[in-house]
Amino acid sequence: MERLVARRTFPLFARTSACRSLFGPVDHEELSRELQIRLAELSAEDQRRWDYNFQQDVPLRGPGRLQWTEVDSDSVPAFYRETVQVGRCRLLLAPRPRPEGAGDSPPPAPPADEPLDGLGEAPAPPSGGPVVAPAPAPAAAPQESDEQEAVPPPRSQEPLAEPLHSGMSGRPAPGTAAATGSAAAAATNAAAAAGGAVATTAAAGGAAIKKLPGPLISDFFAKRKRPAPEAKASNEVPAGCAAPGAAPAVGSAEQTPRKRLR
Amino acid sequence: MELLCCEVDPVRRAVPDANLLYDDRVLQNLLTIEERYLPQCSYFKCVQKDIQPYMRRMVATWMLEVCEEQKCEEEVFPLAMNYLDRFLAGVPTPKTHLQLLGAVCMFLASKLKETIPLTAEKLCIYTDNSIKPQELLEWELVVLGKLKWNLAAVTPHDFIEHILRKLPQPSEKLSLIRKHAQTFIALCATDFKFAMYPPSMIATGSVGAAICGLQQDEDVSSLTGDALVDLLAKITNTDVDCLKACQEQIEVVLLNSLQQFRQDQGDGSKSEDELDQASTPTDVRDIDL
Repeated sequence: MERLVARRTFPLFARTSACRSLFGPVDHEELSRELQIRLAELSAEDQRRWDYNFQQDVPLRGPGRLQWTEVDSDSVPAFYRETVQVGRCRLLLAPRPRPEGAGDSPPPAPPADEPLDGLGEAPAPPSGGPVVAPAPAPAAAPQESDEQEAVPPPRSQEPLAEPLHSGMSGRPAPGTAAATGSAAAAATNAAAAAGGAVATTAAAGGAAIKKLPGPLISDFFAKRKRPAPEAKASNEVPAGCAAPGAAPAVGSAEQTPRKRLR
Repeated sequence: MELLCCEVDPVRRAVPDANLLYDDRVLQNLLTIEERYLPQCSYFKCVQKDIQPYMRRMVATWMLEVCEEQKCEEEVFPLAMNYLDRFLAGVPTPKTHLQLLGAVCMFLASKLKETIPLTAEKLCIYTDNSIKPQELLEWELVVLGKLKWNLAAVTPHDFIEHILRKLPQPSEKLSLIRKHAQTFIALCATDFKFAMYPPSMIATGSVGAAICGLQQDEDVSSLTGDALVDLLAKITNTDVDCLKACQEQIEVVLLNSLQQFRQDQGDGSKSEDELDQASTPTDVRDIDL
């Protein structure tokens, strides 16, 4: 009740001494510029991580860590297809025609060799940002560290990178789970990666197929998307390689909220 | 004046879950993963050019005031400070954006931990409207991205129950020890010294300091001195000397805070609100050493 009073019942709460501006007036224009820079950084990071240009919604031209392959939209669960909200109903969209040049040959995107180009390019607009950025989120910690090993340079300013890595040093080397990353699992990742923005490619069906013995994004998602017995199996592979205790423990710790969300 | 329905329980809480509290694996897992959520470096030296340690203290004090006034869950403030430190360890930030950042961190921590989270509008009012709700929401995304959406950080509060249940204290004393320990944890979160300490050590040190402090007034513990420290260190697998040092630092910070408070009072500049606050049970300053 106390809290209800504090939060709800008196919307016009009296101003207290806690209402104060600490460091003087804020330059809103500067703030907005800074925002755009930071969003562009995040967007470039996402692009690098998924080898995918989320602004233009096309995979990057290789060679990157991931190779994107088209799959038919009918072959993925409805969950991963683009929908539109109409009132209280959610309707499936018909697959959109593919954008030009996004066909068999790799689409016009900055070559992966210089993914930093993405940095300077159109920063995610505030409205587009949320769609893109949240995507990698569920990937959470365990996989994060795997990735650290594979992609050393770009993450220097990421606050968690080192602790994550060091904390997980006992984790299995990436690569083990490549076998477990079936096309279906990979499709899951691709869709999850792109989130709502997956639009054209995923609506037309986008699936990432592992090419290099890289960080194994699929490993992580595969574990959770599959029914229990399989998930267990894929868990056992890496666990057997190293760090018997750490990996599963972490996995389960991170899993809970997702389970609830689904 | 709106009507209050007084039949509703204040805050509905789940009963303590024995499966979580009485299973040592939970404690062990917390100890295993806690380091992952520490800030990467002492950022005043290597990342921040504009922000000074006293500014962190200013923003932290403000955040604590807001959390207390809004009766936030105890964990919200330390968790928000964890976000703030992790963000600052990676992103150079001008001091004029620091309060916005603090507000964003409270916004996120509150959403993660509370059934009725703080609203963006309210937080903006607390900045004296120096920021707009829209800006708060935009920066929320930046903070989330920079933290890699890793929000469920381990805080010292996660360890409190695990520690308390292993102490030989009579159960009627526990609630007072708990309350004081929580206050110490909040105090630690305002001080950058503790930002790089593992949460388990802060929790253990806070419980130790709470027991020692209370011991002077009444008999709360059958254990005292070294025996107590040894037991506490064993529970969270902490080095005894580190723990002792940590506990001493907590006591020093408490003393400083008390002196600061007396000075403030001496100035006669305290408004009624502030005095009110000082009387809330969560406030460090009503602990008598």
